[in-house]
Amino acid sequence: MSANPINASEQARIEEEARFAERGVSLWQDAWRRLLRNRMAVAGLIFICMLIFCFVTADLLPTFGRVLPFFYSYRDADYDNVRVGPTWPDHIMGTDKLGRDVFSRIWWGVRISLTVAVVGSLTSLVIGITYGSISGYLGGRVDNLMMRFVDVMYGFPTLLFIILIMVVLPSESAIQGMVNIFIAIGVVGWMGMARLIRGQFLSLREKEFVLAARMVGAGSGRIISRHLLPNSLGPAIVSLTLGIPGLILTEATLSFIGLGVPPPYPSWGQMVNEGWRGLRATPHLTVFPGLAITLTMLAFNFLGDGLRDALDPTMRGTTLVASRRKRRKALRLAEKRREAARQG
Amino acid sequence: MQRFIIRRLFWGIPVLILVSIVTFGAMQLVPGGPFTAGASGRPVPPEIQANMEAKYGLDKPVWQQYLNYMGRLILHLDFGPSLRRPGRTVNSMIFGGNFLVDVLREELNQTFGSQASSMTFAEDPGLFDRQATVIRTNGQLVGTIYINWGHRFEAVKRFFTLAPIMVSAQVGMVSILLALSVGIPLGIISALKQNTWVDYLAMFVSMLGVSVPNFLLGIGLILVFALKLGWLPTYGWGEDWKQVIMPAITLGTGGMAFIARLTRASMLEVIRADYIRTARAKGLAERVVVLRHALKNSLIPVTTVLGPMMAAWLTGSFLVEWVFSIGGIGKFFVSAVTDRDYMLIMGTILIYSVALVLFNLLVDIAYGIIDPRIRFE
Repeated sequence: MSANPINASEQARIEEEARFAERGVSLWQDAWRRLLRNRMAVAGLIFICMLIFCFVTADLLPTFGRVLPFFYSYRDADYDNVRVGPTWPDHIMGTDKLGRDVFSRIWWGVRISLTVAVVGSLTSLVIGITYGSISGYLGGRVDNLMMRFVDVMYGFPTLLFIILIMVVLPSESAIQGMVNIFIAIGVVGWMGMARLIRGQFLSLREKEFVLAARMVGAGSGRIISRHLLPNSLGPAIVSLTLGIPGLILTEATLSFIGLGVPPPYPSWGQMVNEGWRGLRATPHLTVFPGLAITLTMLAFNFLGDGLRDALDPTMRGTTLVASRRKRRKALRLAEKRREAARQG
Repeated sequence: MQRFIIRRLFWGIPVLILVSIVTFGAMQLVPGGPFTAGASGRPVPPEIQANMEAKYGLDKPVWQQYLNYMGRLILHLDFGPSLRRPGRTVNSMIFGGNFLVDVLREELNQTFGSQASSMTFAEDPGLFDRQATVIRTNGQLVGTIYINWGHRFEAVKRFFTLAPIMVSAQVGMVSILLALSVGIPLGIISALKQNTWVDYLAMFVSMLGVSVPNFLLGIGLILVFALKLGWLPTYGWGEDWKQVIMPAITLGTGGMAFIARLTRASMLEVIRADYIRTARAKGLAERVVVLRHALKNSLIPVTTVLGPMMAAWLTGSFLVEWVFSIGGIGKFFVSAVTDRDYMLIMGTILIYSVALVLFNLLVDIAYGIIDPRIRFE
């Protein structure tokens, strides 16, 4: 048996896998395990956790400021220090044209980007699931008609649509107006989700387990909610995560062209818009918010990619899984060993 | 094939009509009209507003306005007047006016010198008119210019280089060529070298390309290559080859990264197929196997995304045209909506929709060329 030397760490992993196999690992546990093996996805996850921390503490920044020098309120103007470059430790990312601290504004701006991610995803999920499940479950002519409508909506200009929805939704306060923007951004994204759910339903509803459910007398509502929806949730979650960077991008772009979140709320896109006219003299006003947008998009992209690979093993091979190199090495070793065994 | 193309084009008509109805209805629903605020942003008195609306027929019922608009568009290919820019038509804003007039006017200037400024044409000459009548501004006849093929050729050339829609198309075309010529090879290489550092690097770079918003990329490029290094001009299009580089990279990078990832994924799928093993077993060169057998089949997903991408890019990108001050039609997609310039909204959106229908048709035709198993029904 010494012909098969397995080093300790590999031994441990194989044992762990065997334990999992014995216990019976659910899809989600398995996916989580695979996700944790993906270095970039974990990095993305950690970054997003940091963002969530920023989100929660955004209103406490003035309180922090009493102890630490580099925290300020996002809206306090300091007219003595206008357009100051990064200085340690007073304004680590400089100040803008009103003397507001850029670092604190970026910190607060996390709220806007994360809110658009959550509200936008939920909106497109709710609309997409409703529309897609009706279309996919009924099939036939209704399905055909509903999908043609989706085709037409694809040709419809995003911006007009967003402005229209923003106007139609009631807004009594600035906050509500902001949420309306996020909902509008989400509404634009429902078409992809509807297509996905519909495709899932079309293939799932012909499966035996649905027939079995129908045999025992389950109604349409029960079949949809208990059998079809849970089985199409994996791809939906992946598509949702992969869609989040798009939502953040849309919000940043809208704010960049001046149609997004109104001041004084510091949206990153709006900060870039205010900063890039003075690019030569004060590059810090553009570079730091720009970095914030890019890093956030990267984090969500890596996480979404990792999730897709973790939930759908057949799609393997599109992300950087750290252990794959090792796995290949192990395979090569095994091959060699087999070769040696055959000859010897 | 011919029947397929004709039928698909025929199917495009109801789609276009539906898009036009939805857009026409939706823009009327948005509060505020083109005349609610003047150029300075001050509110316009309701009487004046009513008069202006009457002038452009906006006081009529919506369905009547729609029929008028579509009638004029279909019969005369006339997108109507711009509601926010007095004296300009949507046609001239998108297609850049009558270039033949410019060409003939230059000839007038050459013959008559300073006198030419007091002369106009009795009516604007069309491309296939034999001659144009020249009159003085007081109505007195000067003579006629015979339009030759030189004039026509010059006018067409100017249309292709100067017309806003063509400027947008040029920016889009260069960007698409960049995206394809870098994205596809990058995808192939990282698929062939799967799980090596080449693959990791290429995929990291492409992930970066997907993640950087293109307006930020444009601003970053300006910061580095124009302001810090001073190598490239910060704005403009069509005067200098250096002006091409930054807009093309800005617009093309996102698509390039996307295409690279797509090519890699489908290449990985294809390269494990049995027929690839067969091709290798026959002893074909690796180059032939990759380029002829594998690549062709892995291009199907790339072709699919190319349709909407080309439609969007060739009709102009608002952000790129704004950041680099390029005079294309991309900026109208935003400014028309914020100005509530109804005619311009309809014009830009119909042009985009036509492009979408046409490029999706092209994609379907390309499917048949790439993969003969796909039949046209």
